[in-house]
Amino acid sequence: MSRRALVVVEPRSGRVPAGQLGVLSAAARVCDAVEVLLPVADGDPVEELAGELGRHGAGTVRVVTGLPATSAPRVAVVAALHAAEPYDLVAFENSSLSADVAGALAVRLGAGVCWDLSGLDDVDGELVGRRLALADSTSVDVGWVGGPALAIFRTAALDTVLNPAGDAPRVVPVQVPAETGPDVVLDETPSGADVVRSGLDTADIVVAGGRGLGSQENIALLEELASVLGGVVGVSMPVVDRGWYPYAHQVGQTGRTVRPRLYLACGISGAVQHRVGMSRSGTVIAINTDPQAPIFDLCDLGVIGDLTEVVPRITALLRERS
Amino acid sequence: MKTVVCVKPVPMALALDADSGRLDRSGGSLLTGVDESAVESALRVRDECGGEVVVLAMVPEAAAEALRPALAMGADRAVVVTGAALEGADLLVTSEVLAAAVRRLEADLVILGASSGDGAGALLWSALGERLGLPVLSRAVEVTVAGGRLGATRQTETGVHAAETSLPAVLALSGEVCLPRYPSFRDVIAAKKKTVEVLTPESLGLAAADLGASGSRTRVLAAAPAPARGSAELVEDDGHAHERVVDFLVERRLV
Ligand SMILES: Cc1cc2nc3c(=O)[nH]c(=O)nc-3n(C[C@H](O)[C@H](O)[C@H](O)COP(=O)(O)OP(=O)(O)OC[C@H]3O[C@@H](n4cnc5c(N)ncnc54)[C@H](O)[C@@H]3O)c2cc1C
Repeated sequence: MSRRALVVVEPRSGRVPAGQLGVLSAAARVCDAVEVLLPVADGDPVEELAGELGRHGAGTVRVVTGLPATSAPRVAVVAALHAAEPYDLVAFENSSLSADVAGALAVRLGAGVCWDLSGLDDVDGELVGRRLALADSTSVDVGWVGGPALAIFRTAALDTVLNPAGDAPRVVPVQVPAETGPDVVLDETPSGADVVRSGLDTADIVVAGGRGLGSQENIALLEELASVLGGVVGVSMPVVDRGWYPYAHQVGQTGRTVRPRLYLACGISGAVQHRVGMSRSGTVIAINTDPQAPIFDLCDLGVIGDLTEVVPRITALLRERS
Repeated sequence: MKTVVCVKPVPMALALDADSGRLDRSGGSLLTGVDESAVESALRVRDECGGEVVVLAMVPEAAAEALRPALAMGADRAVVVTGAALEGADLLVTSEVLAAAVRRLEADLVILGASSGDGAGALLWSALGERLGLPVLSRAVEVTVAGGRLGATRQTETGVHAAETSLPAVLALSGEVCLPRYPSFRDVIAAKKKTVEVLTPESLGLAAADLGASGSRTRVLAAAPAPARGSAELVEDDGHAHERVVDFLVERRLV
Protein backbone atom coordinates (compact mmCIF):
# COMPACT_ATOMS: atom_id res chain seq x y z
CA MET A 1 0.00 0.00 0.00
CA SER A 2 1.40 3.33 -0.93
CA ARG A 3 1.16 6.16 1.53
CA ARG A 4 2.12 9.82 0.97
CA ALA A 5 3.39 12.11 3.69
CA LEU A 6 4.21 15.79 3.97
CA VAL A 7 6.53 16.86 6.79
CA VAL A 8 6.52 20.58 7.58
CA VAL A 9 9.88 21.80 8.87
CA GLU A 10 11.15 25.17 10.13
CA PRO A 11 14.89 25.66 9.72
CA ARG A 12 16.55 27.71 12.44
CA SER A 13 19.74 29.62 11.70
CA GLY A 14 20.13 27.80 8.39
CA ARG A 15 19.76 24.29 9.84
CA VAL A 16 16.93 21.83 10.29
CA PRO A 17 16.89 20.98 14.03
CA ALA A 18 17.42 17.34 14.99
CA GLY A 19 13.90 17.04 16.43
CA GLN A 20 12.40 17.88 13.06
CA LEU A 21 14.65 15.32 11.36
CA GLY A 22 13.21 12.89 13.93
CA VAL A 23 9.68 13.70 12.70
CA LEU A 24 10.86 13.09 9.14
CA SER A 25 12.37 9.74 10.17
CA ALA A 26 9.12 8.76 11.92
CA ALA A 27 7.11 9.60 8.79
CA ALA A 28 9.53 7.80 6.49
CA ARG A 29 9.17 4.65 8.57
CA VAL A 30 5.47 4.31 7.73
CA CYS A 31 5.16 6.08 4.36
CA ASP A 32 6.74 5.27 1.02
CA ALA A 33 6.56 8.74 -0.53
CA VAL A 34 7.76 11.46 1.80
CA GLU A 35 7.78 15.14 0.91
CA VAL A 36 9.09 18.00 3.01
CA LEU A 37 7.82 21.58 3.00
CA LEU A 38 10.91 23.69 3.55
CA PRO A 39 10.47 27.43 4.13
CA VAL A 40 13.75 29.25 3.52
CA ALA A 41 15.03 32.77 3.79
CA ASP A 42 17.32 34.41 1.24
CA GLY A 43 20.82 33.09 1.73
CA ASP A 44 19.80 29.77 3.33
CA PRO A 45 21.89 26.87 1.94
CA VAL A 46 18.99 25.17 0.11
CA GLU A 47 21.10 22.43 -1.52
CA GLU A 48 22.68 21.49 1.77
CA LEU A 49 19.36 21.50 3.64
CA ALA A 50 17.75 19.36 0.93
CA GLY A 51 20.63 16.89 1.09
CA GLU A 52 20.25 16.57 4.85
CA LEU A 53 16.49 16.01 4.45
CA GLY A 54 17.14 13.41 1.74
CA ARG A 55 19.45 11.46 4.02
CA HIS A 56 16.59 11.33 6.54
CA GLY A 57 14.02 9.97 4.11
CA ALA A 58 12.68 12.88 2.03
CA GLY A 59 12.06 12.00 -1.63
CA THR A 60 10.85 15.48 -2.56
CA VAL A 61 11.67 18.81 -0.96
CA ARG A 62 9.23 21.62 -1.71
CA VAL A 63 11.02 24.90 -1.16
CA VAL A 64 9.11 28.05 -0.40
CA THR A 65 10.95 31.37 -0.13
CA GLY A 66 10.05 34.43 1.88
CA LEU A 67 7.18 32.97 3.88
CA PRO A 68 6.35 35.21 6.87
CA ALA A 69 6.61 33.44 10.24
CA THR A 70 2.83 33.37 10.70
CA SER A 71 0.43 30.47 10.36
CA ALA A 72 -2.00 31.60 7.64
CA PRO A 73 0.41 31.36 4.67
CA ARG A 74 1.57 27.90 5.79
CA VAL A 75 -2.02 26.70 6.05
CA ALA A 76 -2.67 28.03 2.53
CA VAL A 77 0.42 26.34 1.08
CA VAL A 78 -0.26 22.96 2.67
CA ALA A 79 -3.95 23.06 1.70
CA ALA A 80 -3.02 23.87 -1.92
CA LEU A 81 -0.48 21.02 -2.08
CA HIS A 82 -3.01 18.62 -0.56
CA ALA A 83 -5.64 19.72 -3.08
CA ALA A 84 -3.24 19.04 -5.95
CA GLU A 85 -2.34 15.55 -4.73
CA PRO A 86 -3.72 14.35 -1.39
CA TYR A 87 -1.47 13.32 1.48
CA ASP A 88 -2.25 10.52 3.92
CA LEU A 89 -0.12 12.07 6.65
CA VAL A 90 0.91 15.66 7.41
CA ALA A 91 3.46 15.76 10.23
CA PHE A 92 4.87 18.55 12.40
CA GLU A 93 7.19 19.00 15.33
CA ASN A 94 5.56 20.35 18.46
CA SER A 95 5.91 24.14 18.41
CA SER A 96 3.73 27.23 18.77
CA LEU A 97 3.72 27.73 15.01
CA SER A 98 2.90 24.06 14.28
CA ALA A 99 -0.04 24.16 16.69
CA ASP A 100 -1.39 27.28 14.98
CA VAL A 101 -0.97 25.71 11.54
CA ALA A 102 -2.33 22.26 12.41
CA GLY A 103 -5.41 23.54 14.25
CA ALA A 104 -6.45 25.68 11.29
CA LEU A 105 -5.56 22.97 8.78
CA ALA A 106 -7.74 20.45 10.63
CA VAL A 107 -10.75 22.68 10.04
CA ARG A 108 -9.85 23.59 6.46
CA LEU A 109 -9.35 19.94 5.44
CA GLY A 110 -11.92 18.39 7.80
CA ALA A 111 -9.10 16.27 9.16
CA GLY A 112 -8.31 14.81 12.57
CA VAL A 113 -5.24 15.94 14.45
CA CYS A 114 -3.40 13.97 17.12
CA TRP A 115 -0.80 15.79 19.16
CA ASP A 116 2.07 15.08 21.49
CA LEU A 117 2.89 11.83 19.70
CA SER A 118 5.99 9.94 20.69
CA GLY A 119 5.70 7.38 17.91
CA LEU A 120 3.79 6.35 14.81
CA ASP A 121 3.24 2.80 13.63
CA ASP A 122 1.52 0.89 10.88
CA VAL A 123 -0.86 -1.61 12.47
CA ASP A 124 -2.62 -3.82 9.90
CA GLY A 125 -2.47 -1.08 7.32
CA GLU A 126 -3.74 1.67 9.64
CA LEU A 127 -1.69 4.50 11.12
CA VAL A 128 -1.57 4.35 14.91
CA GLY A 129 -0.13 7.20 16.96
CA ARG A 130 1.38 6.60 20.38
CA ARG A 131 1.20 9.22 23.06
CA LEU A 132 1.56 9.64 26.78
CA ALA A 133 -1.29 11.49 28.45
CA LEU A 134 -2.24 12.79 31.90
CA ALA A 135 1.21 13.69 33.15
CA ASP A 136 2.70 10.73 31.31
CA SER A 137 0.80 8.35 33.59
CA THR A 138 -1.21 6.84 30.75
CA SER A 139 -0.12 5.62 27.36
CA VAL A 140 -2.74 6.06 24.68
CA ASP A 141 -2.98 4.72 21.13
CA VAL A 142 -4.79 7.08 18.82
CA GLY A 143 -6.10 6.74 15.29
CA TRP A 144 -7.55 8.92 12.56
CA VAL A 145 -10.89 8.66 10.79
CA GLY A 146 -10.36 9.52 7.12
CA GLY A 147 -7.42 11.58 5.92
CA PRO A 148 -5.12 13.25 5.95
CA ALA A 149 -3.86 12.24 9.38
CA LEU A 150 -2.47 15.40 10.99
CA ALA A 151 0.22 14.50 13.52
CA ILE A 152 2.20 16.68 15.92
CA PHE A 153 5.19 15.01 17.53
CA ARG A 154 6.93 15.48 20.83
CA THR A 155 10.26 15.69 19.10
CA ALA A 156 12.50 14.88 22.04
CA ALA A 157 10.97 11.41 21.97
CA LEU A 158 12.09 10.62 18.44
CA ASP A 159 15.24 9.11 17.05
CA THR A 160 16.62 10.28 13.76
CA VAL A 161 17.29 7.57 11.25
CA LEU A 162 20.10 8.36 8.87
CA ASN A 163 20.45 6.70 5.50
CA PRO A 164 23.80 7.98 4.19
CA ALA A 165 23.12 6.40 0.80
CA GLY A 166 19.74 8.14 0.50
CA ASP A 167 19.18 9.54 -2.97
CA ALA A 168 19.34 13.29 -3.40
CA PRO A 169 15.71 14.43 -3.19
CA ARG A 170 13.85 16.19 -5.95
CA VAL A 171 13.81 19.93 -5.16
CA VAL A 172 10.68 21.75 -6.31
CA PRO A 173 9.86 25.43 -5.72
CA VAL A 174 6.42 26.28 -4.30
CA GLN A 175 4.57 29.54 -4.87
CA VAL A 176 2.94 31.30 -1.94
CA PRO A 177 -0.77 31.67 -2.75
CA ALA A 178 -1.76 35.32 -3.21
CA GLU A 179 -4.71 35.07 -0.85
CA THR A 180 -3.69 33.64 2.52
CA GLY A 181 -6.49 34.86 4.75
CA PRO A 182 -6.58 37.32 7.64
CA ASP A 183 -3.45 39.35 8.17
CA VAL A 184 -1.26 39.23 11.22
CA VAL A 185 1.66 41.62 11.40
CA LEU A 186 4.66 40.19 13.20
CA ASP A 187 7.61 42.19 14.32
CA GLU A 188 10.28 39.95 12.84
CA THR A 189 13.04 41.05 15.16
CA PRO A 190 12.49 39.06 18.30
CA SER A 191 13.89 40.47 21.50
CA GLY A 192 14.73 37.00 22.76
CA ALA A 193 16.70 35.46 19.89
CA ASP A 194 19.05 33.99 22.46
CA VAL A 195 16.78 30.93 22.60
CA VAL A 196 18.70 29.22 19.86
CA ARG A 197 22.01 30.21 21.39
CA SER A 198 21.21 28.95 24.89
CA GLY A 199 22.42 25.51 23.79
CA LEU A 200 19.68 23.86 25.82
CA ASP A 201 18.18 21.92 22.90
CA THR A 202 21.35 20.05 22.14
CA ALA A 203 22.81 19.85 25.64
CA ASP A 204 24.05 16.47 26.84
CA ILE A 205 23.76 17.50 30.46
CA VAL A 206 21.21 19.92 31.90
CA VAL A 207 21.53 21.26 35.44
CA ALA A 208 18.09 22.63 36.21
CA GLY A 209 16.72 24.72 39.07
CA GLY A 210 13.26 25.75 40.18
CA ARG A 211 11.50 27.91 42.72
CA GLY A 212 13.34 25.97 45.42
CA LEU A 213 16.45 28.02 44.56
CA GLY A 214 14.92 30.64 46.83
CA SER A 215 16.81 33.56 45.31
CA GLN A 216 18.49 34.71 42.14
CA GLU A 217 21.95 34.47 43.76
CA ASN A 218 21.60 30.70 44.00
CA ILE A 219 21.53 30.41 40.20
CA ALA A 220 25.31 30.66 40.54
CA LEU A 221 25.29 27.25 42.30
CA LEU A 222 23.73 25.73 39.16
CA GLU A 223 26.12 27.55 36.85
CA GLU A 224 29.14 26.29 38.75
CA LEU A 225 27.95 22.68 38.73
CA ALA A 226 27.01 22.97 35.05
CA SER A 227 30.45 24.23 34.21
CA VAL A 228 32.14 21.35 36.04
CA LEU A 229 29.89 18.81 34.31
CA GLY A 230 30.11 20.49 30.90
CA GLY A 231 26.36 21.11 30.92
CA VAL A 232 23.84 23.87 30.39
CA VAL A 233 21.56 25.51 32.97
CA GLY A 234 17.81 24.94 32.64
CA VAL A 235 15.06 26.45 34.78
CA SER A 236 11.37 26.06 35.56
CA MET A 237 8.84 28.72 34.68
CA PRO A 238 8.64 30.48 38.07
CA VAL A 239 12.38 31.19 37.82
CA VAL A 240 11.81 32.97 34.50
CA ASP A 241 8.70 34.74 35.79
CA ARG A 242 10.72 36.17 38.66
CA GLY A 243 13.35 37.44 36.25
CA TRP A 244 16.07 35.24 37.78
CA TYR A 245 17.11 33.69 34.45
CA PRO A 246 16.32 34.23 30.75
CA TYR A 247 13.33 32.58 29.11
CA ALA A 248 15.67 30.91 26.62
CA HIS A 249 16.56 28.46 29.40
CA GLN A 250 13.02 27.50 30.41
CA VAL A 251 12.22 23.79 30.22
CA GLY A 252 8.65 22.62 29.81
CA GLN A 253 5.41 23.05 27.98
CA THR A 254 5.92 26.72 27.19
CA GLY A 255 9.69 26.46 27.10
CA ARG A 256 12.03 23.95 25.54
CA THR A 257 11.79 20.18 25.35
CA VAL A 258 15.12 18.62 26.17
CA ARG A 259 16.48 15.10 26.02
CA PRO A 260 19.92 15.17 27.63
CA ARG A 261 21.80 12.12 28.91
CA LEU A 262 21.61 13.63 32.40
CA TYR A 263 18.95 15.94 33.83
CA LEU A 264 19.62 17.19 37.33
CA ALA A 265 16.49 18.79 38.84
CA CYS A 266 17.19 20.97 41.88
CA GLY A 267 14.30 22.53 43.79
CA ILE A 268 11.81 21.58 41.08
CA SER A 269 8.55 19.96 42.20
CA GLY A 270 7.90 18.11 38.93
CA ALA A 271 4.64 19.70 37.71
CA VAL A 272 3.16 18.23 34.53
CA GLN A 273 4.04 21.30 32.50
CA HIS A 274 7.66 20.94 33.51
CA ARG A 275 7.78 17.16 33.07
CA VAL A 276 6.66 17.25 29.44
CA GLY A 277 9.85 19.15 28.72
CA MET A 278 12.27 16.73 30.36
CA SER A 279 10.65 13.33 30.91
CA ARG A 280 12.64 11.77 28.04
CA SER A 281 15.99 12.53 29.60
CA GLY A 282 18.34 9.57 29.97
CA THR A 283 19.17 9.72 33.67
CA VAL A 284 17.28 12.01 36.05
CA ILE A 285 18.64 13.02 39.44
CA ALA A 286 16.42 15.12 41.72
CA ILE A 287 17.32 17.14 44.78
CA ASN A 288 14.36 18.33 46.83
CA THR A 289 13.58 19.01 50.49
CA ASP A 290 10.09 17.54 50.17
CA PRO A 291 10.09 13.71 50.17
CA GLN A 292 6.60 13.82 48.59
CA ALA A 293 7.67 15.94 45.60
CA PRO A 294 6.32 14.37 42.38
CA ILE A 295 9.73 14.72 40.74
CA PHE A 296 10.86 11.74 42.85
CA ASP A 297 8.42 9.57 40.86
CA LEU A 298 10.34 10.04 37.66
CA CYS A 299 13.93 10.20 38.77
CA ASP A 300 16.59 7.50 38.93
CA LEU A 301 18.32 8.92 41.98
CA GLY A 302 16.61 11.19 44.49
CA VAL A 303 18.27 13.20 47.20
CA ILE A 304 16.01 14.44 49.97
CA GLY A 305 17.90 17.52 51.02
CA ASP A 306 18.58 21.24 50.68
CA LEU A 307 19.96 22.12 47.28
CA THR A 308 21.92 25.07 48.67
CA GLU A 309 23.96 22.56 50.65
CA VAL A 310 24.04 19.51 48.40
CA VAL A 311 24.78 21.22 45.08
CA PRO A 312 27.95 23.06 46.19
CA ARG A 313 29.22 19.86 47.81
CA ILE A 314 28.71 17.92 44.55
CA THR A 315 30.58 20.65 42.67
CA ALA A 316 33.44 20.62 45.15
CA LEU A 317 33.78 16.83 45.15
CA LEU A 318 33.77 16.68 41.35
CA ARG A 319 36.49 19.35 41.23
CA GLU A 320 38.50 17.44 43.78
CA ARG A 321 38.27 14.19 41.84
CA SER A 322 39.05 15.59 38.43
CA MET B 1 -16.61 46.08 22.58
CA LYS B 2 -17.86 42.58 23.32
CA THR B 3 -15.32 40.07 24.57
CA VAL B 4 -16.09 36.37 24.77
CA VAL B 5 -13.80 34.28 26.99
CA CYS B 6 -13.78 30.57 26.21
CA VAL B 7 -13.04 28.57 29.34
CA LYS B 8 -12.84 24.89 30.04
CA PRO B 9 -13.49 23.74 33.58
CA VAL B 10 -11.48 20.58 34.15
CA PRO B 11 -12.41 17.61 36.30
CA MET B 12 -11.01 17.92 39.82
CA ALA B 13 -9.20 14.62 39.43
CA LEU B 14 -7.71 13.65 36.10
CA ALA B 15 -8.43 10.06 35.11
CA LEU B 16 -9.32 8.21 31.95
CA ASP B 17 -12.55 6.27 31.83
CA ALA B 18 -11.56 2.62 31.53
CA ASP B 19 -14.25 1.76 28.97
CA SER B 20 -14.25 4.72 26.60
CA GLY B 21 -10.61 5.75 27.02
CA ARG B 22 -11.85 9.33 27.37
CA LEU B 23 -11.48 11.75 30.22
CA ASP B 24 -13.83 10.94 33.08
CA ARG B 25 -15.96 14.05 33.62
CA SER B 26 -18.44 12.63 36.10
CA GLY B 27 -16.95 14.39 39.14
CA GLY B 28 -16.93 18.13 39.94
CA SER B 29 -15.11 20.64 37.79
CA LEU B 30 -13.01 23.72 38.43
CA LEU B 31 -11.79 26.70 36.45
CA THR B 32 -8.04 26.53 36.02
CA GLY B 33 -5.65 29.37 36.80
CA VAL B 34 -5.15 29.77 33.07
CA ASP B 35 -8.88 30.29 32.54
CA GLU B 36 -9.01 32.79 35.41
CA SER B 37 -6.24 34.80 33.88
CA ALA B 38 -8.11 34.75 30.53
CA VAL B 39 -11.16 36.16 32.33
CA GLU B 40 -8.95 38.77 34.01
CA SER B 41 -7.52 39.81 30.64
CA ALA B 42 -11.05 40.26 29.27
CA LEU B 43 -12.07 42.34 32.29
CA ARG B 44 -9.03 44.58 31.74
CA VAL B 45 -10.10 45.13 28.13
CA ARG B 46 -13.54 46.10 29.42
CA ASP B 47 -12.00 48.42 32.06
CA GLU B 48 -10.12 50.13 29.24
CA CYS B 49 -12.64 50.13 26.38
CA GLY B 50 -16.02 49.49 28.00
CA GLY B 51 -18.47 46.90 26.71
CA GLU B 52 -19.34 43.43 27.87
CA VAL B 53 -17.57 40.25 28.95
CA VAL B 54 -19.28 36.91 28.28
CA VAL B 55 -17.85 33.62 29.54
CA LEU B 56 -18.43 30.68 27.21
CA ALA B 57 -17.89 26.98 27.85
CA MET B 58 -18.80 23.71 26.19
CA VAL B 59 -19.36 21.41 29.15
CA PRO B 60 -21.81 18.91 30.59
CA GLU B 61 -24.65 20.81 32.27
CA ALA B 62 -23.45 19.70 35.70
CA ALA B 63 -20.22 21.65 35.19
CA ALA B 64 -22.03 24.93 34.43
CA GLU B 65 -21.72 26.04 38.06
CA ALA B 66 -17.95 26.03 37.66
CA LEU B 67 -18.38 29.30 35.72
CA ARG B 68 -19.71 31.20 38.78
CA PRO B 69 -16.25 32.29 39.95
CA ALA B 70 -15.76 34.04 36.59
CA LEU B 71 -19.04 35.88 37.15
CA ALA B 72 -17.92 36.79 40.67
CA MET B 73 -14.73 38.25 39.19
CA GLY B 74 -16.94 40.55 37.13
CA ALA B 75 -17.91 38.85 33.87
CA ASP B 76 -21.36 40.06 32.84
CA ARG B 77 -22.89 36.71 31.97
CA ALA B 78 -22.11 33.15 31.05
CA VAL B 79 -23.19 30.82 28.27
CA VAL B 80 -22.75 27.07 28.28
CA VAL B 81 -23.35 24.80 25.34
CA THR B 82 -24.27 21.36 26.47
CA GLY B 83 -25.78 18.15 25.21
CA ALA B 84 -25.30 14.41 25.21
CA ALA B 85 -24.28 14.63 21.55
CA LEU B 86 -21.15 16.56 22.53
CA GLU B 87 -19.62 13.79 24.56
CA GLY B 88 -16.32 12.69 23.08
CA ALA B 89 -16.16 15.81 20.89
CA ASP B 90 -12.77 16.29 19.28
CA LEU B 91 -11.12 19.45 18.04
CA LEU B 92 -13.29 19.73 14.92
CA VAL B 93 -16.56 19.35 16.79
CA THR B 94 -15.52 21.58 19.70
CA SER B 95 -14.37 24.35 17.39
CA GLU B 96 -17.58 24.11 15.37
CA VAL B 97 -19.80 24.39 18.44
CA LEU B 98 -17.80 27.25 19.97
CA ALA B 99 -17.70 29.07 16.62
CA ALA B 100 -21.48 28.86 16.34
CA ALA B 101 -21.84 30.27 19.86
CA VAL B 102 -19.31 33.06 19.23
CA ARG B 103 -21.16 34.04 16.05
CA ARG B 104 -24.42 34.13 17.97
CA LEU B 105 -22.80 36.38 20.58
CA GLU B 106 -21.28 38.66 17.89
CA ALA B 107 -17.95 38.95 19.66
CA ASP B 108 -15.35 41.56 18.74
CA LEU B 109 -12.66 39.67 20.62
CA VAL B 110 -12.43 36.01 21.63
CA ILE B 111 -9.94 35.12 24.37
CA LEU B 112 -8.73 31.63 25.25
CA GLY B 113 -6.26 30.44 27.86
CA ALA B 114 -3.27 28.27 26.93
CA SER B 115 -3.76 24.55 26.69
CA SER B 116 -5.89 23.25 29.50
CA GLY B 117 -4.51 20.49 31.65
CA ASP B 118 -6.49 17.77 29.95
CA GLY B 119 -6.26 18.05 26.20
CA ALA B 120 -5.24 19.86 23.07
CA GLY B 121 -6.09 23.41 24.03
CA ALA B 122 -3.18 24.64 21.96
CA LEU B 123 -4.97 23.63 18.78
CA LEU B 124 -8.36 25.00 19.65
CA TRP B 125 -7.73 28.68 19.14
CA SER B 126 -6.42 28.29 15.61
CA ALA B 127 -9.25 25.91 14.71
CA LEU B 128 -11.70 28.48 16.08
CA GLY B 129 -10.00 31.31 14.18
CA GLU B 130 -10.25 29.28 10.97
CA ARG B 131 -13.96 28.53 11.52
CA LEU B 132 -14.70 32.20 12.15
CA GLY B 133 -12.39 33.46 9.40
CA LEU B 134 -10.64 35.63 12.00
CA PRO B 135 -6.95 36.34 12.58
CA VAL B 136 -5.35 34.64 15.58
CA LEU B 137 -2.68 35.97 17.92
CA SER B 138 -1.41 33.10 20.05
CA ARG B 139 0.99 32.76 22.99
CA ALA B 140 0.29 36.30 24.17
CA VAL B 141 1.80 37.50 27.44
CA GLU B 142 0.72 41.14 27.09
CA VAL B 143 -2.35 42.52 25.38
CA THR B 144 -3.44 45.93 24.11
CA VAL B 145 -6.68 46.91 22.42
CA ALA B 146 -6.81 50.32 20.74
CA GLY B 147 -8.21 51.91 17.60
CA GLY B 148 -9.87 48.74 16.36
CA ARG B 149 -6.63 46.81 16.55
CA LEU B 150 -5.37 44.06 18.80
CA GLY B 151 -1.73 44.12 19.85
CA ALA B 152 0.14 41.42 21.75
CA THR B 153 3.56 40.53 22.98
CA ARG B 154 4.02 36.88 22.05
CA GLN B 155 6.32 34.41 23.74
CA THR B 156 7.30 31.45 21.59
CA GLU B 157 10.23 29.09 21.08
CA THR B 158 11.91 31.68 18.89
CA GLY B 159 11.77 34.44 21.46
CA VAL B 160 9.54 37.33 22.43
CA HIS B 161 7.86 39.12 19.51
CA ALA B 162 5.43 41.98 19.13
CA ALA B 163 2.46 41.27 16.87
CA GLU B 164 -0.76 42.98 15.91
CA THR B 165 -3.86 42.48 13.85
CA SER B 166 -7.30 43.94 13.17
CA LEU B 167 -10.41 43.25 15.25
CA PRO B 168 -12.46 41.14 15.41
CA ALA B 169 -9.83 38.57 16.30
CA VAL B 170 -9.01 35.51 18.38
CA LEU B 171 -6.45 35.91 21.16
CA ALA B 172 -4.77 33.01 22.95
CA LEU B 173 -2.82 33.64 26.11
CA SER B 174 0.41 31.95 27.08
CA GLY B 175 -0.42 30.47 30.46
CA GLU B 176 -1.20 32.44 33.59
CA VAL B 177 -0.16 35.81 32.25
CA CYS B 178 -1.87 37.96 34.89
CA LEU B 179 -3.16 37.61 38.41
CA PRO B 180 -6.95 37.24 38.55
CA ARG B 181 -8.73 39.82 40.69
CA TYR B 182 -10.09 38.54 43.94
CA PRO B 183 -13.89 38.84 44.23
CA SER B 184 -15.37 40.41 47.37
CA PHE B 185 -18.13 38.69 49.31
CA ARG B 186 -20.60 41.09 47.63
CA ASP B 187 -19.32 40.06 44.19
CA VAL B 188 -19.84 36.41 45.06
CA ILE B 189 -23.44 37.06 46.11
CA ALA B 190 -24.07 39.19 43.02
CA ALA B 191 -22.69 36.41 40.82
CA LYS B 192 -25.43 34.10 42.04
CA LYS B 193 -27.98 36.37 40.33
CA LYS B 194 -26.17 36.63 37.01
CA THR B 195 -27.50 34.56 34.15
CA VAL B 196 -25.95 31.34 32.98
CA GLU B 197 -27.65 30.71 29.67
CA VAL B 198 -27.78 27.08 28.58
CA LEU B 199 -27.68 26.41 24.84
CA THR B 200 -27.76 23.15 22.94
CA PRO B 201 -26.14 22.35 19.60
CA GLU B 202 -29.65 22.20 18.12
CA SER B 203 -30.47 25.70 19.34
CA LEU B 204 -27.30 26.84 17.57
CA GLY B 205 -28.51 25.20 14.38
CA LEU B 206 -26.03 22.30 14.44
CA ALA B 207 -27.13 18.79 13.47
CA ALA B 208 -26.64 16.32 16.31
CA ALA B 209 -25.68 13.56 13.88
CA ASP B 210 -22.45 15.36 12.93
CA LEU B 211 -21.39 16.03 16.50
CA GLY B 212 -19.74 14.24 19.38
CA ALA B 213 -17.93 11.00 18.81
CA SER B 214 -19.82 10.40 15.56
CA GLY B 215 -18.45 13.58 14.01
CA SER B 216 -14.95 13.23 15.43
CA ARG B 217 -12.06 12.54 13.08
CA THR B 218 -9.79 11.04 15.73
CA ARG B 219 -10.35 8.17 18.07
CA VAL B 220 -8.74 6.59 21.08
CA LEU B 221 -7.85 2.98 20.23
CA ALA B 222 -6.42 1.90 23.55
CA ALA B 223 -5.38 3.37 26.87
CA ALA B 224 -3.26 1.72 29.54
CA PRO B 225 -1.15 2.80 32.48
CA ALA B 226 2.25 3.91 31.20
CA PRO B 227 5.23 1.87 32.32
CA ALA B 228 6.77 3.50 35.37
CA ARG B 229 10.24 4.89 35.02
CA GLY B 230 11.57 2.34 37.44
CA SER B 231 11.79 2.81 41.15
CA ALA B 232 14.20 5.49 42.13
CA GLU B 233 16.93 5.12 44.67
CA LEU B 234 16.22 7.66 47.41
CA VAL B 235 18.83 8.98 49.80
CA GLU B 236 18.30 11.39 52.63
CA ASP B 237 21.02 13.99 52.94
CA ASP B 238 22.95 13.44 56.17
CA GLY B 239 25.85 15.52 54.96
CA HIS B 240 27.11 12.80 52.61
CA ALA B 241 24.47 12.57 49.89
CA HIS B 242 26.79 14.37 47.48
CA GLU B 243 29.16 11.40 47.61
CA ARG B 244 26.37 9.08 46.47
CA VAL B 245 25.49 11.49 43.65
CA VAL B 246 29.06 11.59 42.38
CA ASP B 247 29.44 7.80 42.62
CA PHE B 248 26.16 7.42 40.75
CA LEU B 249 27.41 9.73 37.98
CA VAL B 250 30.55 7.63 37.73
CA GLU B 251 28.56 4.34 37.64
CA ARG B 252 26.48 5.66 34.78
CA ARG B 253 29.54 7.05 33.01
CA LEU B 254 28.12 10.56 33.11
CA VAL B 255 31.38 12.11 34.28
C1 LIG C 1 -0.16 26.59 30.54
C2 LIG C 1 0.99 26.40 31.48
C3 LIG C 1 2.25 26.28 30.97
C4 LIG C 1 3.34 26.08 31.82
N1 LIG C 1 4.57 25.93 31.29
C5 LIG C 1 5.61 25.63 32.10
C6 LIG C 1 6.92 25.38 31.58
O1 LIG C 1 7.16 25.47 30.38
N2 LIG C 1 7.90 25.07 32.43
C7 LIG C 1 7.71 24.98 33.78
O2 LIG C 1 8.67 24.67 34.50
N3 LIG C 1 6.50 25.24 34.31
C8 LIG C 1 5.45 25.57 33.51
N4 LIG C 1 4.24 25.83 34.06
C9 LIG C 1 4.14 25.96 35.53
C10 LIG C 1 4.02 24.65 36.26
O3 LIG C 1 2.66 24.32 36.37
C11 LIG C 1 4.59 24.75 37.67
O4 LIG C 1 3.96 25.81 38.35
C12 LIG C 1 6.08 24.97 37.70
O5 LIG C 1 6.74 24.02 36.89
C13 LIG C 1 6.59 24.85 39.10
O6 LIG C 1 7.94 25.21 39.12
P1 LIG C 1 8.88 24.73 40.31
O7 LIG C 1 8.93 23.26 40.34
O8 LIG C 1 10.16 25.47 40.14
O9 LIG C 1 8.18 25.35 41.60
P2 LIG C 1 7.36 24.65 42.76
O10 LIG C 1 6.30 23.79 42.22
O11 LIG C 1 7.01 25.72 43.72
O12 LIG C 1 8.41 23.67 43.42
C14 LIG C 1 9.51 24.10 44.15
C15 LIG C 1 10.14 22.87 44.76
O13 LIG C 1 11.34 23.21 45.41
C16 LIG C 1 11.45 22.46 46.63
N5 LIG C 1 12.37 23.20 47.51
C17 LIG C 1 12.14 24.32 48.21
N6 LIG C 1 13.26 24.73 48.85
C18 LIG C 1 14.23 23.84 48.54
C19 LIG C 1 15.61 23.71 48.88
N7 LIG C 1 16.23 24.60 49.65
N8 LIG C 1 16.29 22.66 48.40
C20 LIG C 1 15.68 21.73 47.58
N9 LIG C 1 14.38 21.81 47.23
C21 LIG C 1 13.66 22.85 47.69
C22 LIG C 1 10.04 22.35 47.13
O14 LIG C 1 9.90 21.22 47.96
C23 LIG C 1 9.26 22.19 45.82
O15 LIG C 1 9.10 20.82 45.46
C24 LIG C 1 3.15 26.04 33.23
C25 LIG C 1 1.86 26.20 33.73
C26 LIG C 1 0.79 26.37 32.89
C27 LIG C 1 -0.57 26.49 33.47
